[in-house]
Amino acid sequence: MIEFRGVNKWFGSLHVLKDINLAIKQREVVVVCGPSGSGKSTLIRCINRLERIQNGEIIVDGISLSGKKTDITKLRAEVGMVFQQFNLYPHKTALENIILAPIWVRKQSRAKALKIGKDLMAKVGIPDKLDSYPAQLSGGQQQRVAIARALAMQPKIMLFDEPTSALDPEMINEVLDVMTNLAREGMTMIVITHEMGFAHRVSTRIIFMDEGQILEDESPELFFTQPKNERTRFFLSKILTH
Amino acid sequence: MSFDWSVIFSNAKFLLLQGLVGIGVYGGGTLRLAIPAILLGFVIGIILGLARMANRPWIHYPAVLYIELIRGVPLIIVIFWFWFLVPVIIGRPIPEYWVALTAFVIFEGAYIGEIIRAGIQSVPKGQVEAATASGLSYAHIMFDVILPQAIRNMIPALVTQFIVLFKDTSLASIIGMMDLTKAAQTVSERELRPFEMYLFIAVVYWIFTYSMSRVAHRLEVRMSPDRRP
Amino acid sequence: MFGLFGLSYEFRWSVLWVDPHLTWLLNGLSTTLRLAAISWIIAVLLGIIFGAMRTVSFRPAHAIATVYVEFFRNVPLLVWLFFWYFGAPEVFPEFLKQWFIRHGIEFWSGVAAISIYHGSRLAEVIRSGIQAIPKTQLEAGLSSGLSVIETYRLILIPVALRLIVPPATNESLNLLKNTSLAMTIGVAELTFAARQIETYTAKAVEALTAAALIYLVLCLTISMIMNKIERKYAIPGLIARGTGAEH
Repeated sequence: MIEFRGVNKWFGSLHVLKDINLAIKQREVVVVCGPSGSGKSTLIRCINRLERIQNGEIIVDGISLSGKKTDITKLRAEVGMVFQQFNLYPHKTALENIILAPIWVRKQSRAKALKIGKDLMAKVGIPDKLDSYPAQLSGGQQQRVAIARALAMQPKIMLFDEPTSALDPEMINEVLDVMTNLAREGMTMIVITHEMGFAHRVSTRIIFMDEGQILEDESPELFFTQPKNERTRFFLSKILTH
Repeated sequence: MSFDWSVIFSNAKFLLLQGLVGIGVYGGGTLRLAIPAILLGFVIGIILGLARMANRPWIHYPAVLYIELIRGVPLIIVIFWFWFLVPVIIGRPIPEYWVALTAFVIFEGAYIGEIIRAGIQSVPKGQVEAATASGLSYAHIMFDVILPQAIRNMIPALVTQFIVLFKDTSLASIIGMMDLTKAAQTVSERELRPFEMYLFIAVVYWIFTYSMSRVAHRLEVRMSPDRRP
Repeated sequence: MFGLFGLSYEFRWSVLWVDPHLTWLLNGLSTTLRLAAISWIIAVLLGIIFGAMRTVSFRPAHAIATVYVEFFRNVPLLVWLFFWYFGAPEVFPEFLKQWFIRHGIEFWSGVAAISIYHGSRLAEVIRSGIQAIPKTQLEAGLSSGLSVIETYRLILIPVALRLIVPPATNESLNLLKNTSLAMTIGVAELTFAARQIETYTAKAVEALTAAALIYLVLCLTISMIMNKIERKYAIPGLIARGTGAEH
């Protein structure tokens, strides 16, 4: 479904992705973790080309991102993304946020988009907030609208960039629950998170990154019990104690 | 139509020395008008800004009235007003330079006053409360706590206003003061080269205002906790 | 009779409503409004085009917009008026020159100067409005499959417009007040009419006061309307941003 082949990326002189090779199959739920500045965010932002790579190749759903004829907007429609800061459109209600791209990109009829939108709002557990504006919602509610907005495009892949990092502790679970259900339904997901409970319960694979490299790529069982790398152990000891 | 740019060189001394700087038989001068106007306008502006924020109604309302009245009329009307009214009041005509300077200070003071007020109001209320709670007097709260923070916030807007004022000095030419614009007009009428003349002084004005705006931009970047690199 | 420092100036407000003075004022007002309206529409279009161009990363577009904005807004409007009235027509192609002359060269030179000058200033207002939107909004739009143009049209511009209304109102009022400078190239607008009355009656204070009051009423009306619009389109839950400085 997603393949990185010898991917390198620099920000100026900073080498942020170092020779990344990675293959993710359909229905996999991959958790990416690592210290800040390790390149994990850059890694998933390359998948819908919010960041461009300097060499190597990324293939998403059989299409090479660096191909000259690649229709990037078409590809982005197949890859949903959820951001740390929600990034809802402040001038549109929750429902309007959800139906915007389906109408403009998928060319859905307004009626159909509205129906799907309402269903999704029910699915993420806030069917009563359809006409609220983002600023009138709590962080957890905003993030759930953001997930619904991404799902409305019926994507094949969902990317989550630290979806719970900006949330108050009591709101983290309501978002993780939505993500867990999504994983159970078989969505291909890549999730950057430090929620190790979620990683343990839901993921099929955990990737640990540091300094632009993938140091660990394991099943959750092995990742938590027998991490191979010294830095992984250090990271885990820090993150699991609180 | 052929251009003759030599007309600029043959009149450069008159344009720059007399028009821009104000050295020559006509007096006037863009810089000689702009610099005192900026300084005095700033002083009037601080007074007006503080007056508008005062609690005492007999200080507050006159300041509001002054600022809103001035901001609702074009500068040229204010200049004409002084041009016609001052001789009536003091009984004899006064030089264009002094009419222009008075009008500018009165006019720009209202705009600068608003910038000062916005700057002061941008300082969080908690600052005043903390200072008051520690027993400082009004003057100390204003000059030691609020104004230093406020001025930092308003420097970009102030520099922008100074640029506006610098450009506005060209209006002094309308009542006949010999500034850069009037000098260009004089030359252009004599030499019949309006295209070259006005383009030339546009560039001269631009050099001054653009450098000022670069300074404002630098300050803005340095002082704002900006999201983007 | 009104004494000032021993000198006397006889007020005669009636000069304002005897004809032809009243007609002059009314015609002047109508010219001011026409000049302001036409210039405003062109300035807004220029402002949107060049303001948006300054925020794109495509170098040539960015460069063109920067040159336009930085050159035109940094030179006094009065100089531009003289340039467009005295200077520019000489280098116009003949048909354009003839069109200008046939349709009132003073008025249309005024429109050119005012709209191009204020277009560059509005472009700055619009640019800073667009840049006040977090870059992540662009990413959110793009990652949902919208094209760059659609993201601008549906998300960035509607939000930016709301941020822009207060400073744009200010700038529009500046445009209105600045139409008074068109009197210097012989456009018979409001200030011109006031000067004309002064010339014929020597009643400068009355004539200028009348003009000042009309400008004041126009400005207050516009800012009241804009306040209403601002409130109507305010985004619920978002508090209006702090009192930004003008200009």
